[in-house]
Amino acid sequence: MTTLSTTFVSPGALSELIASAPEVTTEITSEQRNSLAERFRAVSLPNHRRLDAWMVERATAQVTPFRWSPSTARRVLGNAALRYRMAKQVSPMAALDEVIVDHLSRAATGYARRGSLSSWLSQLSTAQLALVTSDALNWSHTLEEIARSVDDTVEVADSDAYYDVATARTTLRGRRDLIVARGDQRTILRLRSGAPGRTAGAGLRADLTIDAFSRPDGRIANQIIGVWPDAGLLLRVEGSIDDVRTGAKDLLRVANLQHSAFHQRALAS
Amino acid sequence: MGGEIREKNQGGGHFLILSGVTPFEQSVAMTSTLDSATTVLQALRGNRAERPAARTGDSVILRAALEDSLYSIVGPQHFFNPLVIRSQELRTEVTTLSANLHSFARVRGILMHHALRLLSVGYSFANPFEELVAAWRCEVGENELLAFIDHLDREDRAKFSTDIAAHTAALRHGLGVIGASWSLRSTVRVSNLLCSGAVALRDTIDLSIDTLGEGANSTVLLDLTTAPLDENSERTLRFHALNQTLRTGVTPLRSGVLSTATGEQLVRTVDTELLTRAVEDVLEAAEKKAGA
Repeated sequence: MTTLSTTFVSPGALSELIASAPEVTTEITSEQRNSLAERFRAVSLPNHRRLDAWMVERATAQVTPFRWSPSTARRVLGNAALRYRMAKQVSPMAALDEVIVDHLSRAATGYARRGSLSSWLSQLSTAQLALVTSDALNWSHTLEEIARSVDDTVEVADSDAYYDVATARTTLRGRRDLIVARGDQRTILRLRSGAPGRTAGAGLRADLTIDAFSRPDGRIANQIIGVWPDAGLLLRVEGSIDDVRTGAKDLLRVANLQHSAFHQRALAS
Repeated sequence: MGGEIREKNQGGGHFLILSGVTPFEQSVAMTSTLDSATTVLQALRGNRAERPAARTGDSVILRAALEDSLYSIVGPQHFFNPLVIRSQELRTEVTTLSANLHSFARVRGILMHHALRLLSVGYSFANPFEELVAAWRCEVGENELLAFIDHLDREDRAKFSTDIAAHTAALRHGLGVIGASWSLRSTVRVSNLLCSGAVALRDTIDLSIDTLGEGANSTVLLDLTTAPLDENSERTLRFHALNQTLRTGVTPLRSGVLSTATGEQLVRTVDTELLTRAVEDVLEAAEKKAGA
């Protein structure tokens, strides 16, 4: 059973949650990896697919097609800016400028693929770029504020967690923003906007699951904490094998829904 | 007026603050127009040396006060369909505009919020109207209001363009210089859930400013309006302070409103009285809305 706990944001609340992480650390076995791959293979699609926590949270709800906008770009840019700022000790604005220039130069040298963030940024006017900068700076400030409120060692995640399920043409993407190390314990922090809905716990559990599968040693993080600064709420999911099992079932449920929808469309046509 | 008004001199400018000795419900809203030398950001941030220590106990008391009263207002139906309170619902009177004027007012409001977001990252405008519309389009794609702008005739477009340029100039002048060490967050969305989610306080704080590494006691809030200031501005300012306190657990230092129509600025130090009044405003709005 998943243990979810909700806490109101207050000074010290996040550090207290991190300090109270479960001490037992569990690992995923290769049998469990094989079992997951087998189940995904059973509901595979002709095309490659990518599943993430957002799909678990949305379940069957209609999702509008993805398009780049200041709000969809802010997390990638904001996280990168904070990572750069922590490494180089520059101002938040200078860090963000550096990140955007990096994207623009990638597009200018032809290394950006079509539809990528770099390619989209290169098509924007200066006013539009300023709006993107403003949103990313908001994200970066908020993330830094969260990082500063933690007493232990915090680092910005190098990238999201990706796990390609062998022979199932499926990539799982787990989002993670900050990683807190406290001795042997590992806590994943996710920054979310808005207020947590009823499926927020399932989303966090999916991220925890994908993070564990993406690690070569299969080690499950001790906990994942979702931070909703807009609502002043913290939601924690403890990292246990049961949670990972349920997280994997949620991801399989989405894969199953996609599989059924594909076959219904095929039959109708 | 029963309250005592103190005049404070900070950074060469003057602004009026409501002292804490005002008996409860005895003070009335007032507008203080600052000397042109003092920008709203200077007034909000005040003198660094005079900042009090961060107050962290208010949020628990406010949440308890709100929930105690709200539980008797909300019905069981709200546990599935939350009662949402926004700052618009705290207003005493609502001005009704014709559909066309309403669209202009809405677009003006949206463009000014975009202008604030761009100015907060040091953008300098050459042609505010065109640049702001382009920025807005980049964010939302296409919508009804953008179609309204696209279909304006030349005369209306020229008139509206100059109107936006004037508001942008007033905003830039009102804000003044932004400090290098300040951490600015524009369009901060707040969604405080109360009574186990049966009531939601939704708010958007146009600008939240603090100093990097200085802690939450330096946080100040700014609301932007394209209308002249009135009693409703005071309610909005209080609502922002209440929401910020609930969401962060720390009481902000000051809350203010800037009008780009008149250049007026209203700044209040966030104290217990202000927060208590904000609670009253919310309860009044909740009663009205639940009754309706």
